[in-house]
Amino acid sequence: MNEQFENMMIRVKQLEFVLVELNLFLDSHPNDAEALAYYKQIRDEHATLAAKFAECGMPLTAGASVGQKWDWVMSPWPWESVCN
Amino acid sequence: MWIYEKKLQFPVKIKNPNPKLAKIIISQLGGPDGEYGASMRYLSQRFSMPDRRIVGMLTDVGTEEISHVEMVSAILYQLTRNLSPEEIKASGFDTYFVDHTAGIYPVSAAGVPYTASYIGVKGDVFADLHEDLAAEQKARVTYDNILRLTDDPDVREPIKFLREREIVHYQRFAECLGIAQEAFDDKKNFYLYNPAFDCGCKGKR
Repeated sequence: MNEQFENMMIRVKQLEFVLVELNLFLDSHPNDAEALAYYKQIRDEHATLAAKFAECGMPLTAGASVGQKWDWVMSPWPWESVCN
Repeated sequence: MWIYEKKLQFPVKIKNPNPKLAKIIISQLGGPDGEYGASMRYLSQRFSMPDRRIVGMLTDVGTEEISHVEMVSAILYQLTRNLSPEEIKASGFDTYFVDHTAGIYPVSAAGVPYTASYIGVKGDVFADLHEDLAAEQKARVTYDNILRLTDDPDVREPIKFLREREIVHYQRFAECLGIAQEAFDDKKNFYLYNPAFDCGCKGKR
């Protein structure tokens, strides 16, 4: 797995972590407008990056598959440590 | 319903197999305070919560715990790769290996299979949230104990991440307890009735 892909993987995890944390905060503070705006902003950035995984043949969700083959099953699985 | 994302929440890249350590860490998979229990506890309790904010928190934390089941499983998978019979015997992993080979099966470090007896669903918001606070602390202690038992940085990094998440979840459940108390209409007696059962005619907040 090359360095650019590795960097993409680190970045998408960072963005998703922000989303998870904001998600939990919003669960107990559903009316917090600032948190919600920040959530939407990060979500947009995440969506743009997540789409690139599909283009590299490693879709993050089954529904994101775009290749000629069903990359969803044939790309490495997370515990294989090649790229998780 | 659930959607699966094909990545770990936090990386697990362990260079050195260590079946003896796997036998210890497996308690965070199938042990009394492990991630299977955490996810099933929260995803079950959420149905009888009287406030949607608490339903949401239990749903989302429970979902995150499933991703932690996956992380612990990945740690165990990587710790038990390419083992020789000599390594299996010397490490004490043989007692697990004989029944499961290198498969991932939810047991405790003592070999006790996971059971629903490890979780509580009382159908009462105060009882259930207190169980959840305790559960997160017990999980945190278990991770503390694992950290005492290994120096391998590849193992320590994901374990430290999982430990920090337990502390964060504890704080979020404490927040939920405050929500439950604030939402209860008799501030002098939270035990007056069970809002999830005794007043089904009231809509959820």
